[in-house]
Amino acid sequence: MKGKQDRRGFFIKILRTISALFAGGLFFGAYAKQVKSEPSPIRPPGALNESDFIKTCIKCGQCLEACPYSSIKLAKPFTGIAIGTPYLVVREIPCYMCEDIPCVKPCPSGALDKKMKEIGKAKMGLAVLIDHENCIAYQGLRCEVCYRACPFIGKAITIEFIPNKRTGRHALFIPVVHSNSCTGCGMCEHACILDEAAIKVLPIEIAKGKLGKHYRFGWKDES
Amino acid sequence: MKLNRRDFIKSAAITAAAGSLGLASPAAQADDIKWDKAVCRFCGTGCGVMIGTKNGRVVANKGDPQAPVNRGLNCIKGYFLAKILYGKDRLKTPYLRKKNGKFDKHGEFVPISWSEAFDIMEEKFKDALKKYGPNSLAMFGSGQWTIWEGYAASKLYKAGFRTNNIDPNARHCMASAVAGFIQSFGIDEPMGCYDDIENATVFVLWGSNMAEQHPILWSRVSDRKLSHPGVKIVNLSTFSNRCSDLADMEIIFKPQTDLAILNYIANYIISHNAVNWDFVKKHVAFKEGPTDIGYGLRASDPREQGQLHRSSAKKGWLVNFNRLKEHVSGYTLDYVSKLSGVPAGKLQRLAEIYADPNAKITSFWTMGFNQHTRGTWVNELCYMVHLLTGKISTPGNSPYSLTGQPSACGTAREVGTFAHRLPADLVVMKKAHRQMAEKIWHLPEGTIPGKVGTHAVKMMRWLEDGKIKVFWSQVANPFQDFANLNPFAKAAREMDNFIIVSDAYPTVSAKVADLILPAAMIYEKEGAYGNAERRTQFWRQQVKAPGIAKSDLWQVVEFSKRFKLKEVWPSSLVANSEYTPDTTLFEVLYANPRAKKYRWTDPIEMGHDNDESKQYGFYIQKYLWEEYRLFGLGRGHDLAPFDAYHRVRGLRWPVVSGKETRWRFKEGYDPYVETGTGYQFYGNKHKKGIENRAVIWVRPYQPPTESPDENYDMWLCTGRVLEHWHSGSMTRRVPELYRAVPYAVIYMNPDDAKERGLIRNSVAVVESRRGKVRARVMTNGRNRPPRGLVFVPWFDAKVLINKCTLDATCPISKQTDYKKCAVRVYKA
Amino acid sequence: MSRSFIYRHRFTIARRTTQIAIMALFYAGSHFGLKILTGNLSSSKILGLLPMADPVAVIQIFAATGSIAPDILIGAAIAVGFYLVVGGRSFCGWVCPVNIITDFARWLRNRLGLPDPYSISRMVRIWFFFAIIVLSALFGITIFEYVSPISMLHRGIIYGIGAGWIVLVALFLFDLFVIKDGWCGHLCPVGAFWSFVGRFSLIKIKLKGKYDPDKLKNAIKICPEPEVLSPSSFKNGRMISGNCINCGRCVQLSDKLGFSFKKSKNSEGGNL
Repeated sequence: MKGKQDRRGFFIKILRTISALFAGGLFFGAYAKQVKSEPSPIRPPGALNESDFIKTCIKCGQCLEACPYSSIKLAKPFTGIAIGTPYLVVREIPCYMCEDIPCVKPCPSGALDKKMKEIGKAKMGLAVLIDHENCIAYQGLRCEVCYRACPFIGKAITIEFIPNKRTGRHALFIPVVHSNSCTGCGMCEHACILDEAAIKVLPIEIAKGKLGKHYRFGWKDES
Repeated sequence: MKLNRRDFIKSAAITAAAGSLGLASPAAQADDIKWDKAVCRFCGTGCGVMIGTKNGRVVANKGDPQAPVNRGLNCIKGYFLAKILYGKDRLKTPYLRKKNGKFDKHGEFVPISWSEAFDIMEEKFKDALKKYGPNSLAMFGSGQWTIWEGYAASKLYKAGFRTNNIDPNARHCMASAVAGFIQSFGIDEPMGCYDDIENATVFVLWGSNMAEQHPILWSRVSDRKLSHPGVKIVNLSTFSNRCSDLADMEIIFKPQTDLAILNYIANYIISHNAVNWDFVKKHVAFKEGPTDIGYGLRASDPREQGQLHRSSAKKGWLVNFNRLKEHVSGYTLDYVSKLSGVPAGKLQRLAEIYADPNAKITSFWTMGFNQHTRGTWVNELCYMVHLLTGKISTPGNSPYSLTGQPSACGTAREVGTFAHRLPADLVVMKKAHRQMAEKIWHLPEGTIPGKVGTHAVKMMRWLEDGKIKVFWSQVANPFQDFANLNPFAKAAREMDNFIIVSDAYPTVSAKVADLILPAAMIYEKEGAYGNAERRTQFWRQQVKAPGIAKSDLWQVVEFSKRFKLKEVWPSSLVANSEYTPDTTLFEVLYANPRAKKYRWTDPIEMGHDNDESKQYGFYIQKYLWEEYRLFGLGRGHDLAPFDAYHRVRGLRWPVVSGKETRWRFKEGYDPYVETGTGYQFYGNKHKKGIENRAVIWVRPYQPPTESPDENYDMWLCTGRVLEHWHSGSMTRRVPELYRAVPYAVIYMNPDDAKERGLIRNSVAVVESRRGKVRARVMTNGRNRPPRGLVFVPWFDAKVLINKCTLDATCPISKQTDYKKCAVRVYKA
Repeated sequence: MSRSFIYRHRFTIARRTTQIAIMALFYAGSHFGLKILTGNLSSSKILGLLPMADPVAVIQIFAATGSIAPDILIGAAIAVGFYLVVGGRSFCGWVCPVNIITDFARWLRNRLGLPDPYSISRMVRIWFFFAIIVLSALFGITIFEYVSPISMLHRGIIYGIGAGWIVLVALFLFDLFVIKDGWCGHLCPVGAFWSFVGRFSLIKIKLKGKYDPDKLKNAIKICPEPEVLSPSSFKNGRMISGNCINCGRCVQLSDKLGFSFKKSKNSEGGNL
């Protein structure tokens, strides 16, 4: 009698364990999918691509501690950013583009790639002047704060001068971002003087379009 | 060491983040906002704006689409006009340094009432007057004073206290331009106007970073270039700046060699027969002056020894064209190219541009010329080039000195709030001029002293020497903006003197002061500014000042009540006057029968407040304006009646029979030029030998006062950035502008940085023989210095770069050279 | 009552001190630039030189990516080496900050005399451990690192916890009302890993004298892993189970029980 009960208890225990594991597996599976589909935030310089990054990063925060500007944060739970991973909110504190890249050096997991030796090659994201309606430069005001804040002024952001048809005697100074030089450091978004920034750093995969594979711009040298 | 760097940087980042909190944005509900026209608070461009008020607060602002200067546009500073009034640390009450309830120079600031503030001021003024005489008083004013504020202050000092020790911060800004104008044309301020921009085919920038410092004007220049193919821009500077974005040619020259480059251009024009002989023969005279004029340093300085014409630097004698020809022939392309470091090809192209008879050339300059130990000379040399080719006073042909401050022209220059000036180009040294002023002011003859007062730099030196006992500053931040400020700030804090600072915010200078007077800001008072194209613009009081803050006008006028004539004038002078010994300065200078004719209220105010007039019972601003106007009428400085300016978007003087003047000295444009003459430089109408002619001065190149050597191996150049106005008192309190440019950096050539073990963002020390500051290095920012030069802006109170600068001045204009001194830069 | 309170709680006090001190040093490393300990329990550096890494995280990274960076591999090896000396689950008892929460739940549960109606196998954590490795490989993501309350807490202490407190409160309530020693004793896969290491560790509990169930009754009552005090866990008085967290509760309970910490000369496998 006792033995039978014991055996029964044992089976129940096993079953319970299996069902718990099964439920857990389902939960984790769903969770994993969600984590992987979350939009990429702005990562520190040298970060691997997002899908590799989130599985390589050990979430130790050593990059954060090396950052002299407190630019890097670690994602807190339930924020829509892979928990514990480092990211930047450039509107608050951008990447100040240290030439010695102190954040990459201590990364133990390789999630921040030590092969990145030149901060200018970083691709944290891409600045996009999204809101042409509220950007005061588009209205002819002399702002271009984003342009002057850009650590690669004249390369990553240039000014396009367009006559101001409304006044007939002024020019529009339109900031234009160039993806080949933009590092996504966010100095521009940080500096934007609007209540909500008109220029924002977006993950490159969201910011960039893609030309049809078959097509080439005829006036561009392809070599 | 590592910890320090980290702390420094982190705290800076946190401050920046904190700065982004702060003001709630003014909610703009279009329907119940009351709009009225006004003027931008910042640079000399003079953009028209509309100020929106609601419930006694400025809640909105916009560019004025009807304003001819800007047509509704603003720069980033103008965008934030509504916010500059509402910084959290706005001064709302006077503060006096006290210990145990009594004034003590080493006490703590304690809030006090106005009557207590005036009590201690009265005590200190009277004490100084009695013990040391009127020249122990000094006032440092501003090109940001409204016109009547400058006028009222000038009256109080020059007529009331009988000292000419009043000088504006425009001394640091426009003095060389003024001296250049007076010496070349006999009358101050540009002959052209902004319409030159829409007419020129070539713009040459001589030490003028218009792209950042005159943003809306630069926008006009840009449009001119964009919409008219063939229009060229040449940017001359000692470092690469944002004007080069649009420039067809950038010329980076070694500091001070602009003198040589201009002489070379003249040489080219003469040797290539490009002289406009018709013009030169009829309208130009030639003069030469002494060259051993020193550097405006103290007489004891070794560099001043043997400089025999230190105190007679502006002397001159007539010479002929051949003397000029001979003089400039030494400035060969080869020599000047070597001296200036500019490739010969570029110099020659520049000379060709000036020599081209078809080119309409506007040469703009600002502080690159004016803040120069040979500032007057270099202004004159630019006129030389324009006069030789006759490219002057006609649309598009303009040697154009741009003012930095919103009313450097309107207040400092036109009102003449300088140590040697009176309104409308009159000077205290000339008896006839003093008499004219005394007549207008209803004062007995001999009231205004004939001795030139202490100019700004001398004020500080005299403070250090203990000769100035009471120093009052309004709308300025002297202890941030004077060159070589360490000894001056020390003298102000430690010596037996009394420092009064009127300001809206606790600036560096306010903290140095003994007494802080809270000032009303621009839209909290009725005002008038005059911009860089002689355009005078008015605005009404929009809101009340916070707390018991008061306008600078009120402060000056109210303080004048404390003085009876017998206390400030000798009895003989009082006896000759129409007043009794017990008449107060208030009654003589401000609340006199003439003033009381201007009744308050007045329909032109359209129901707006006017705190001063309401208190005094007469329209004090209108009275001051109408009296001030008398100085210029019929003398080439005509201004329109008070009411006219409230109806229009500004008028460019001389305003003759209701019409403004766009180009002076040119027949057809300027009512003062007689028909058939073509041009008349009537500022020199009565000057013997140069009647109605402009003067070309023969001026050589001379090396700077202090050049880099092995100990201090780099040039230091200082200046501004677009986002911040001057010392940042206002713009640093706008969170968005603070965030946009949170601190001053050292703009540096990457190779120079590398050589010193510095990289971008490293904290470095800039050190001169006079002082040092710490700041971060920027190697690829908006300004790109050549090797051997660093540029540091001066807006940041944490990076007081003027501890390093040298207080050498142009000996003629007394304007400091903030652009050149020797420093070393090393890792902190 | 012959001994002082402090003496009777000497190991608990020492454990809390190390747990708090470690987190404090991490905090200081991050916030005050005091570079004694930098990083966190996932991966850290001691005095800027000696790397440590959480082997469970490293295993997951390997499972998810198929490769491993040398830094964290060395770090994990050093960590394993270290705990081979001080006792595998010493991590649980002396370092992991979750232990403070679960110990508190346990203490409160005893105080309130709450019933313990549910029981699940302590084996679950082993299953769980292997499951996360498989799932990491399957989904290509370091699966446990995204839910781990351990990381949530130590990261939370150092960099701010955010909404992670909800998880920790849930864990506390789970331990308090649902399963006694639920997390640390039954579920935690990190604990499971350190159990493997613990079997070969150097420093262990030693029982002097004969195993006497009556004498050990009270000790078993307070032991968070009571099975380790069963007779089969001892061989010649030496603890052979890896599950012991070296908390020292049994040692400090009474000198008369005969427990002490000893270096074991030839540790060998025992029951899990």
